[in-house]
Amino acid sequence: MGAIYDNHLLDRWNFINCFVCLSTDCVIEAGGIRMNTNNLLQCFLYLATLILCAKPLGIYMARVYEGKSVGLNRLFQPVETLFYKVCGIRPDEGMDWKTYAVAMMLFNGLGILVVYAFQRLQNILPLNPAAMGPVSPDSSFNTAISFGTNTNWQGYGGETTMSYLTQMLGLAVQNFVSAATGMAILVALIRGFIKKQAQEIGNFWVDMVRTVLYILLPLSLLYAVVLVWQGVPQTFSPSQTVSLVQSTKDSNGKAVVEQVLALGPVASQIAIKQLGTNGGGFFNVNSAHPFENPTALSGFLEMLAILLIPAALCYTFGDMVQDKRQGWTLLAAMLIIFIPCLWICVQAEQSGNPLLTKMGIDQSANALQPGGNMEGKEARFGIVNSAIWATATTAASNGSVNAMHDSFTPIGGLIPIWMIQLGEVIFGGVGSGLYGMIAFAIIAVFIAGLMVGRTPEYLGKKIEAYEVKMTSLIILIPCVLVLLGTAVAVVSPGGKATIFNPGIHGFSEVLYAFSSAGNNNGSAFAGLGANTLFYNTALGIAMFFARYWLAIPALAIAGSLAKKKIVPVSSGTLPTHTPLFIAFLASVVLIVGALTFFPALALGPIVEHLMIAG
Amino acid sequence: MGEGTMDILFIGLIAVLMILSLGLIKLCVNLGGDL
Repeated sequence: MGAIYDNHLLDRWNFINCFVCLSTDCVIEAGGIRMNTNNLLQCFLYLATLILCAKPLGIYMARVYEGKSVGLNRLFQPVETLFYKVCGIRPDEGMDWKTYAVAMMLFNGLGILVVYAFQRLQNILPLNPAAMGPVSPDSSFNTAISFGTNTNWQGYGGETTMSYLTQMLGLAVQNFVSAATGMAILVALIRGFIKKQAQEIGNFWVDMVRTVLYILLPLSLLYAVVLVWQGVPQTFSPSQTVSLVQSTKDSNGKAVVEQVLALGPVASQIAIKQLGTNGGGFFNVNSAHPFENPTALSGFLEMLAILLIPAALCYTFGDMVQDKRQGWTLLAAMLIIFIPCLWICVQAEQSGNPLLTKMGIDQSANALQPGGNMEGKEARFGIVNSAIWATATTAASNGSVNAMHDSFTPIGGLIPIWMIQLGEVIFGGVGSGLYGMIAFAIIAVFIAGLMVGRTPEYLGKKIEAYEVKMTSLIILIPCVLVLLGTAVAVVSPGGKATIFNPGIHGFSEVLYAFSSAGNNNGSAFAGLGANTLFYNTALGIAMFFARYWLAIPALAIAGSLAKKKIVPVSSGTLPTHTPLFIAFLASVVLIVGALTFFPALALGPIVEHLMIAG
Repeated sequence: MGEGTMDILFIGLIAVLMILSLGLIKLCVNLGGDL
């Protein structure tokens, strides 16, 4: 068994080395900044593939939400109809925004309780070959809210804490339904723009069922099969003990000749974890684990999956509002923030650690070494794949990691924190990212209206006081959660007790943790002991508010807009599909993010950078 | 504190968070009149 896995992985790693060492000797230097062709090619390939995939998937999703026929109807329609019959759902019955919101809350609340119960009772439930005991109440609370809210913050190590049943029926199921919840809310908001003087914004149950059946399940199945092909396990077999190829010694000098390889139904969970911007790993080290992410191809496809649905939903938005330019506008606004941030992150990591440079250590990329800052990175993936992943996973509210963000250079680490703090609207979570961006678009047209004296309108709907109040809640609630949570943690004994890196780096770790929870990202900076009563409770509460206290105002906006007439375009209408509006929208996002979090960032990564580079 | 008591406290906390969220729905309705 072990030998099979060893050979299997060695083959994969040889392939990876061919990929990541491509042209590392060709280095472009400009003003002391290093970028090699390998970095440029991989970034370009990633973004080009993402944009190419956005349109077909976007069209497909629009057809699903408009109730039109898609290729999978013959397969899934009987299941859909049966589901409605069994659950007593009348699919043609629309809901007003309040009913939609109450249905969403009750469904998600029930899901959170079920995940809590699975964890607490896993010791007496089946599919627990490693005989895992019950998870502690505070960790169960944190994890239940984490997976219910699509955050997937993990204070525990998956392979040493959760039974297979908990992973499959508790966590993986929430990966589907929490992602579907975000997409359902987005679709309800889009209907708010489409409908004229209507009360109804759709049916929550229909949106959920169609999202899971027609979008998430087929895509996840496809991804899971590819991941199995690449070497990700999908088995109910217990962990395997294998002989090491080369023995080693433990901290007491005792020879170690065996290793336990954790297995399980991994592929099915990893597929939806990436596609649904969930991010919760089957294993503790997440996508740095060779059984979650064994090859260069799996790494590329998983990175693609992180942004695939959020990017495609922009096209779905344009398609559904019957003005595709509007969708491209939002995608362009996301990209003009994402690309420079990606570039800064790659540069910071490829430039290496300034302290080592001062010591005269060569950190340049050449044929013999990858160069740059390799601390905390998987040697299989190298710098550029770690930096793309870190930027993508924090731009989307995914949160899976293939490198330890805590070990990035201060500027390289600042990018993931800031991407999260921008409110998870640069792609963001599936559905939630786009409804967050639409909230910023509403603020942008409102400010533009004030500046040039035009009536604030967006997609033909007048933006009035109520929409601006609700949008303000969407933008301000995460800011309050992040800053207040961090402040409480760094002054309270419970918060300070498990900051293992005191000083500015420790502050960055706490800031990252609350930024992650307060924006439903789920990634961790590492270095912070978060599986404690204080952090499990505080971060759990932050995740809950960050999800539902934004979703409810988004639905309220949908209800308000649906009631309004569509105003014809006139000379007083601000065009919202032009390069000017793209720049304006991106500026609003950046200014809000910069003004809110600059003081906190100045106390963390910025001062750390000045200390080591100055 | 026993684990049973902790369970009651955390399930109670989930219930409180749910009630607060339903309260937010009510607040949003009040802010907008009868939407």
